[in-house]
Amino acid sequence: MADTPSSSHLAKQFSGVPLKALMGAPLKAASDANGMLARSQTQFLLSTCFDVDENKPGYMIPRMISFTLSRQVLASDGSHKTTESMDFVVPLMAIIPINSLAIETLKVSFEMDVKSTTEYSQESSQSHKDASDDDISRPYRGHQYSTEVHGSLRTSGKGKTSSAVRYVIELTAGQLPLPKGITTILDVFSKNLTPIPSKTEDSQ
Amino acid sequence: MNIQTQIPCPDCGTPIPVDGAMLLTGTRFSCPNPQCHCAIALNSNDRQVVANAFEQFSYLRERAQHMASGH
Ligand SMILES: [Zn+2]
Repeated sequence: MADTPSSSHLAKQFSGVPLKALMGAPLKAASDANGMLARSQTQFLLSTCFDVDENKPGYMIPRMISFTLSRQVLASDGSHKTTESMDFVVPLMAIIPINSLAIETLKVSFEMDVKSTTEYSQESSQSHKDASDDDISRPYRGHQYSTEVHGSLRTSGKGKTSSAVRYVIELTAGQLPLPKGITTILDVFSKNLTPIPSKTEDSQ
Repeated sequence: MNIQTQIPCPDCGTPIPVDGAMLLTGTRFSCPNPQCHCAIALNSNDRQVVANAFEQFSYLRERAQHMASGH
């Protein structure tokens, strides 16, 4: 009569399986891809959304674009409407959805079956769940990842039985956050959008 | 090129949803705040600058989608 399969017995069945490599490789690939995208994002921002400051060598200033704001206004006696127009400027990068430049979700799933035959006369079932969170993209700090490993073991009967273990691993990766400097610039500009009267009168 | 973005309303601060392609044609976008009767439009002299930026951004985004699909 053999022992009921235990967690340690279960673990032994997985020794030699390169789980770390199997789970890490797709995440590493996604992280590398996001690292490349982060560099492309920076190059795009600097070359497209900034100009070199000619007065200060080594400094760059955000490229601004101009909008017209129009507003319908009722005359004081309520008789007719006029349209007031004003111009305002925003940084070019404020209208580019930069943070969509990332691999938002990556779903890698693989199933693993380990089968063995043991002899015992007991009925049991157990399940196992492991979760971990880490940042594997240290060079870019671009991605967080979380891993969940679920396993279940079901055995029944008496005498000669077989046990099977199935692991399903799912990996998900989150969105690339905007660099802090960029969010600061966007925040400052969005809070200071002050329209100025348009040069060409557009009110009718 | 399908770029959806938003610009905070200069008057009330409510984000105004903006379609990239329509922005380049000079379309006016109204503030979604019912109390605010503002509309904004890109000035014609900056359309080319924005068009170039959108084009480069679209190229980058395609690369990202290409990578995400595992090719
Ligand atoms: Zn508004």
